Amino acid sequence: MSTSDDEEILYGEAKIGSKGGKQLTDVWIVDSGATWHMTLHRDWFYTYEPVLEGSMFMGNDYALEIVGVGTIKIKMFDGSVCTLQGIRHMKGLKKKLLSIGQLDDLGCKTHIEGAILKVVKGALVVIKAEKIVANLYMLIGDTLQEVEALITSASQEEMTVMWHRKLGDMSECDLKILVERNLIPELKSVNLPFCEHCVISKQHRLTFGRLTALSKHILELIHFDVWESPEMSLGGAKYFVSFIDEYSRRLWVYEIKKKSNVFSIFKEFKARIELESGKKIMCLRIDN
Amino acid sequence: MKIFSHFCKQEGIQRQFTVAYTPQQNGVAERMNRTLLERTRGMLKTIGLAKFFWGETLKADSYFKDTN
Repeated sequence: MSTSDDEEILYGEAKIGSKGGKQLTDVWIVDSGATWHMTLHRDWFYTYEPVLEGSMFMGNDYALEIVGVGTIKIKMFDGSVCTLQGIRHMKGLKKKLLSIGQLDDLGCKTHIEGAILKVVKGALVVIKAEKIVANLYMLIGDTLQEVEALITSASQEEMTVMWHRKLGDMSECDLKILVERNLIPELKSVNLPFCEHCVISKQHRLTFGRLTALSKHILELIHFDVWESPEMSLGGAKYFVSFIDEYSRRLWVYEIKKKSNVFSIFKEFKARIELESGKKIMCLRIDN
Repeated sequence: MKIFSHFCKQEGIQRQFTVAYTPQQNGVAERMNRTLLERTRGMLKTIGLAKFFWGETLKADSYFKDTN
């Protein structure tokens, strides 16, 4: 069902051999002609489910049996661990193939430029591959074996979180610098999960917006506030009430002895002001 | 407060409440208080009166503010 001629070429060219000490059979090759991600190694799988029936046709119509499906963890070029899903375990396959089509299903874009292939998700480069001798794109990164994957994913992540907290919620970038300089011996890779406290502590209040020209006539909006004095005045007052007209900015101040007097003062003020001006108070702005 | 809101309803006065513990929203009134109290303090200091004269001074001050 899959694969065009390039599969055959792949097989032919594969004999050319190695790059950087690695056998071509050991590396992942990014392939646009592959229907699925495929590998032969059973022990590379992180999770694994056997498949009872299924086969896949290669370029030469030769059928290979699908034995299982699972996930594999790969440590990428930047040290982050990526979990690839839906990888087929093929009997008799000599290569490890990464299907571009399957990556596309996950919403990843693939760019090839200057002998470098990049798989981008959103703004993040997830997978990088470089062109090797055989005109193939070889994934930069290492496959984590089952045991290794467990250790790396669990304890390294926990370790990162621990160091992140120990160092006063240090940023991921700074942690990476420390790890690069080998200052934290037990930490090999930095993979910081989402830290809620960091986000919350960076939040700040928005400034209050300016409101201008709310009213067009006097008495349309009255600002109102009660102020409590720390000391009693000569006349026995402990509070004062201020009324400010939004339009004219005229100010009225009344001293009161008890907070409960506010209401009667307001009534008095209202009666006086409405009689004087011949208008009615329309809106009152008060705090609680 | 209940009588107050009842009164306002009766008189057709719309009330705008600010969010609790956010005096910024009652900006005009709070700023005026500051101005008033600064002036009052200044007057008390100049004349050399004791602090408990604040009520009387404030009254005088608000009168000046409006006539000026």
